[in-house]
Amino acid sequence: MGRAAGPAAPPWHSLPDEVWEHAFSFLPADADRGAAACACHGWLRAERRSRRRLVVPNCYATDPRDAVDRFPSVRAAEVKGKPHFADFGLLPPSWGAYAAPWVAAAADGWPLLEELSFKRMFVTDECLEMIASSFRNFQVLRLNSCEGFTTAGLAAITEGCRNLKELDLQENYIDDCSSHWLSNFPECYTSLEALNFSCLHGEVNFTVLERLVSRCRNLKTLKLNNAIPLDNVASLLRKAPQIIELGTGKFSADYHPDLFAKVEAAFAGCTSLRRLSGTWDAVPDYLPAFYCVCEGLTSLNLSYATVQGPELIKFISRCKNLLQLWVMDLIEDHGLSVVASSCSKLQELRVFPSDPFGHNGGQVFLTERGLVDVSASCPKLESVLYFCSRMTNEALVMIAKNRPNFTCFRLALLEPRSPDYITRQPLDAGFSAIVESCKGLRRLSMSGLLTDLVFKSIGAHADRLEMLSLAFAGDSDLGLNDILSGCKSLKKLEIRDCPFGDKALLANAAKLETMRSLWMNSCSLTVGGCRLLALKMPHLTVEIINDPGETCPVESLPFDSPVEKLYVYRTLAGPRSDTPDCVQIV
Amino acid sequence: MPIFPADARRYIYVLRTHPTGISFSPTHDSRHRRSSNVKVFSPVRPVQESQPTVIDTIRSIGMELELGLAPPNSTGRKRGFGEAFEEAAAAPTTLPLFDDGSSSSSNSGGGSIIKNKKPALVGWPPVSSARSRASSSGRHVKVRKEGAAIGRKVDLSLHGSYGGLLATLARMFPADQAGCVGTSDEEVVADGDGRGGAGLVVTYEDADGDWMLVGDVPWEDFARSVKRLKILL
Repeated sequence: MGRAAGPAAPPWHSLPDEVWEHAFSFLPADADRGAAACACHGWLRAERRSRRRLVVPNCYATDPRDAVDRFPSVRAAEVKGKPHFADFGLLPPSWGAYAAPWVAAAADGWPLLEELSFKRMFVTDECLEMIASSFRNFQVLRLNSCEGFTTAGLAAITEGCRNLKELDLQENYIDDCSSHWLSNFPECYTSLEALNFSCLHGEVNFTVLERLVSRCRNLKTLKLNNAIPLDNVASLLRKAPQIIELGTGKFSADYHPDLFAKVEAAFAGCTSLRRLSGTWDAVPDYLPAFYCVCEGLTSLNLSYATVQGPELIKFISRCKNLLQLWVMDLIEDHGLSVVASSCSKLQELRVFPSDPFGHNGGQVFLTERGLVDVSASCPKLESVLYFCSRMTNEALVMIAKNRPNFTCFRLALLEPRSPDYITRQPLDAGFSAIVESCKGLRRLSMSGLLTDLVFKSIGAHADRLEMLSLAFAGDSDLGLNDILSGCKSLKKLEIRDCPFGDKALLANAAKLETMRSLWMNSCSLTVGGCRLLALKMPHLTVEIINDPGETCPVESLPFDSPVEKLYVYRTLAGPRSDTPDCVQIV
Repeated sequence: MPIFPADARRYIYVLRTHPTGISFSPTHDSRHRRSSNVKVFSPVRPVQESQPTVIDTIRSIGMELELGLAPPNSTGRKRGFGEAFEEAAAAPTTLPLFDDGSSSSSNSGGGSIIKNKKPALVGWPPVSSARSRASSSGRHVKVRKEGAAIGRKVDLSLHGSYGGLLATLARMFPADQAGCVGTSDEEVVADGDGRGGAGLVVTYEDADGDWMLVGDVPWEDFARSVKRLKILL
């Protein structure tokens, strides 16, 4: 900054706050805003007062009232609760992550709140009622993987939120009270833009739904539940041809040419359709009804569609503009090679197991070949989730060479500790190749037979890695030590069934404070080690989680008692007070 | 839940080596019975090599089981059913032979065959509860074939039509003797009266307890009301 010429301009550090607030509005990333706020008090003041969007990735990292006080102008808030492994049943149901304190604090401090998202939290009907009555301009409610509420709570939302634009219910567990929540939208209400009730199990009143869809001309996203038959899906589409994202209801019916014609005609009218999901129990007979929209699709989620064979492949091969494909392993290697040659713009691929627990004979549908083909032919591919039964180091090395642009690589070999099925070696070499080649890798999940060697590579090379998931891997504490002493950007680490003990944790205790959270279950941790960690790091909450019903107080246990489940996270708020009996904070 | 339902005690089978691995078949026909002492056999290959589990091999081969002698035990006396399987915990050479298709012990990861008293792995494979509800706890119904001692279970939620179901049944009960269900590689199509491509006659017990011919009602109604299936010769 040079000397000001002419009339004295204020020095930059005494410019009014409004100028900085305007400047900060050009920083979309929260991390950048946070960094700016650290520069000086002036910037801190300006930034926090102008923050409109707040994401709280761990609801226990701060007291809700402190968050609301610090950022008084927030219009959109997202709060996440339970750790990721809660999705797989590893957390006791009463663990916590209650939304109520957040809703109460928001109702007090953010009267102009427009958007609220909760992920993996316990949301009650009272919370929903409070939301409906506290925010006069409430527009967007997103609940993802939550539980604790019923359709009665939804009825409060649909009745009370006059300006509601989006109601997105994704993979929640909702008790059906047969409350007519859908009917509670007033007849004059027309502002709905997105409605997702795919996780609801019960029936909805179809006439009411049809009327709603007819009068909401801005409806862009509609995701139905499994209870809506194909015939009705077609009728709805006729009323909403402007739709961009559709989740079909049940997509199977005995073949009937009339119904087929109706479905086909309905889809033909949806020229804006870009994203398709749902399709539970899709049968091959009706897939051709979709053909007319294939060309326009950018996202296709067939991961609940247990359809296989040539019909599936023919259908996907027509979707030449796909960016995102989620599918079951019933697509098989052959299907993926067709995807490789047809979907050249593909960015994200997820392949889910059709028979994860081996109930139907443990047939192998998919091998490493499919992933090798797709990674070789899809230059934009950067995110993969792949469940399969076998892998080789050679395949992983080839994948790493072909696709150094991976940002997210998650491989789940169904059988724990599976080695390279040809050489019988551990998969260290393969995963090392992935982290060495993919310099931008942000998320990695590993499986199969892995020794401490692979962790050396990861610690040394995975500089951008933010989230790492390990299962049945490693030989000793050295492995964990390599991860914690390397991986500069690590935020979340989740580990199960690995032979890691207290030593590596204690040696790298300071690292844990730079991370958001650490989860470990079925490792070799001890009560004493956890106590030492808690003593050493007062800003960490160290939770020992037992199975419900086992409430032996930690203080009375000997030093070397094993710890089955550990959850460690940094927090400004001190230890939480809402723990159930089976959780103890040391 | 018990690993072996009570009536499985009548069908204690022995594994015999087979050129391609391990096989067993269900039968209590007298022509197959070699010995009236039914004991438990150990697998030929140790499971630590991460081979496909024994149950997988068994299922992929079919269900050919023959009775035979077991290795002598240290006490030199006959073992009862309970003893034979309690020994599994101490001497890990016994196998879970009867798997009724439900979860828990059948597929709990490498080493599960040997340590068959270990509880199933929680949360593995890492699929969300919504997905595992959709796939694993789907509608499993028992299927019996007339004349076959061992039944199977089929997951109706993996099928969307009669054609798919009949194809799966044909695969589970391949044609081996005259008059039995079977199929070549061509698709099996239901033509509305319960018959499949090669003379399958499939009946089902509905919610009222009546035995009906498969194929008369729309698939969804069938899938909701079926309690179990029976294939007639």
